[in-house]
Amino acid sequence: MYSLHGIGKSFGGIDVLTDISLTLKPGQRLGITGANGVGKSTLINVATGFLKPDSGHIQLNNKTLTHQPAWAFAQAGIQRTFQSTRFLITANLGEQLLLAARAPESKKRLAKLIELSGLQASLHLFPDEIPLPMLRKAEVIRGLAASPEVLFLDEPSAGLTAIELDQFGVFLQQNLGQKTALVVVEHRFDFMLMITDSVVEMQLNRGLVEKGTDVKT
Amino acid sequence: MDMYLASVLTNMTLIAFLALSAYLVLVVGEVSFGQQAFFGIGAYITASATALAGAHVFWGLLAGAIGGASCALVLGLLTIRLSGIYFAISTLCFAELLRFFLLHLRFTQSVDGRIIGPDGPEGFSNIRWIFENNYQVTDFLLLAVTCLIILLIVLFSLERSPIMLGARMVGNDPILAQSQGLNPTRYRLSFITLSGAVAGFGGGLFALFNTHIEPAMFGVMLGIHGLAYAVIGGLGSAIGPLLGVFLDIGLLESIRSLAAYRMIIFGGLVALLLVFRPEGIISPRLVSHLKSRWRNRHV
Repeated sequence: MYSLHGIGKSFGGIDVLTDISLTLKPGQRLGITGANGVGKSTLINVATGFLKPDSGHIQLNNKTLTHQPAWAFAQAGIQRTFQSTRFLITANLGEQLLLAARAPESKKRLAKLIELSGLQASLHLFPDEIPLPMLRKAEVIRGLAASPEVLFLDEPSAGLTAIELDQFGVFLQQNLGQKTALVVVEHRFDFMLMITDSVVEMQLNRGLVEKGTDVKT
Repeated sequence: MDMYLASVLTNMTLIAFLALSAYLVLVVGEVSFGQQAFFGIGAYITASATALAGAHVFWGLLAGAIGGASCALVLGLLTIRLSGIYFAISTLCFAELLRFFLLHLRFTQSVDGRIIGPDGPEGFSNIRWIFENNYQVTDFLLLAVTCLIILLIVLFSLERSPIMLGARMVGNDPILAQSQGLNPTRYRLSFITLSGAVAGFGGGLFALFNTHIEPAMFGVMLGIHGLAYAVIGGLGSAIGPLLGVFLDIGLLESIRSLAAYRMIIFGGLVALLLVFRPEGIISPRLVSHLKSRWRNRHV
């Protein structure tokens, strides 16, 4: 169980997040949509420890993570992907995926995920030699290898065509597993409906609102 | 072996320690202009331990390495929130600070009618370990090369472990590293401390070989050369800095007959390298590529 309680964050007097609360059960799949600039990426950055909230707290299985550094979030099982894929371009893909899977059971899982994703042929390539759809899959695999508690995807559709996105969605559905909760921040609604079981909208100064209870701000 | 050749080779081996220490800092993404200070501290400590305290050379060199490592750890802790140009400036200041400390350090003793010990700008003379133990230049070369090989074995086993890849990740993209659960601060501190130990150990050997050391030897230019060797040779593997040392000192010595023109040749060569191989001769990508080809062939 992962939860955010009353998270607030402001940059130089501009309140980006005010009193955001969110609870995720294992295996839950949540989509977050919303207009540009309402703070979706800030929310991901706070939720994964890359930004520190000004108020509120973050808990994972009754352990408070709020003031921990980002690497401690990752070690506790809060994984994320980035809007533009992030890899080390001086090492081949295989080495980097192995770095994410340190425990023996993670290694097994990683090997299985690589096989299912069709990435075997790309393992010896450098990230800048691999097409974007493959890199998106690789990034998800890297996040999933250690069976995380929560996986945050920050706009996974960016740069993918409709067909590639569909394949990506199918791959996600099949490989997330029962334990991992998923949070997707997205603009592409069709994709969101495919991989999530509920969608909330983030609105300026109103936080997360159930999709459908549309109130103009 | 020719005395001249042996002493050039010994110098190359000793400077290789400095280049490797600069390399270890570069791997975690920082540029240090201060490795010469750890080299100097190591030299003074090893000299004091062997010539003043009469310790066995093994303990002397170990103390030099520990001294270098401690100074580097202090620098690492002081600069924990700095990176890039600010880190580089701090290392330069810290190194100069240590050099000024050596410049004012006076602790001389008279042993058998000889003045031994650090004597301010005059330096530390009469480090007679090499004479007392009847070491020829070639013997010392053998000792230095053995130490270098041991260091390389340690670095290569590090290179094969995930630690080095983690360090490179911290150096290239700290945000990515954190998302992978790696603690950048811990990596940086460990690698900076290790670099201090390597420089300190090399400095100790340098003191034993030179028999006289003075603060002026450990100026900024020494550190910049060490850094340049690592950058020219490439950051893909510990072999890179060695290649840098070999190219620079080896080439400069072998074309000595060209007198002042050799600097033109050397400068041109460095410029060409930076144009055609900006990541150094043995770049990380080259090493990663070779490794995967090697693995494919042997699986």
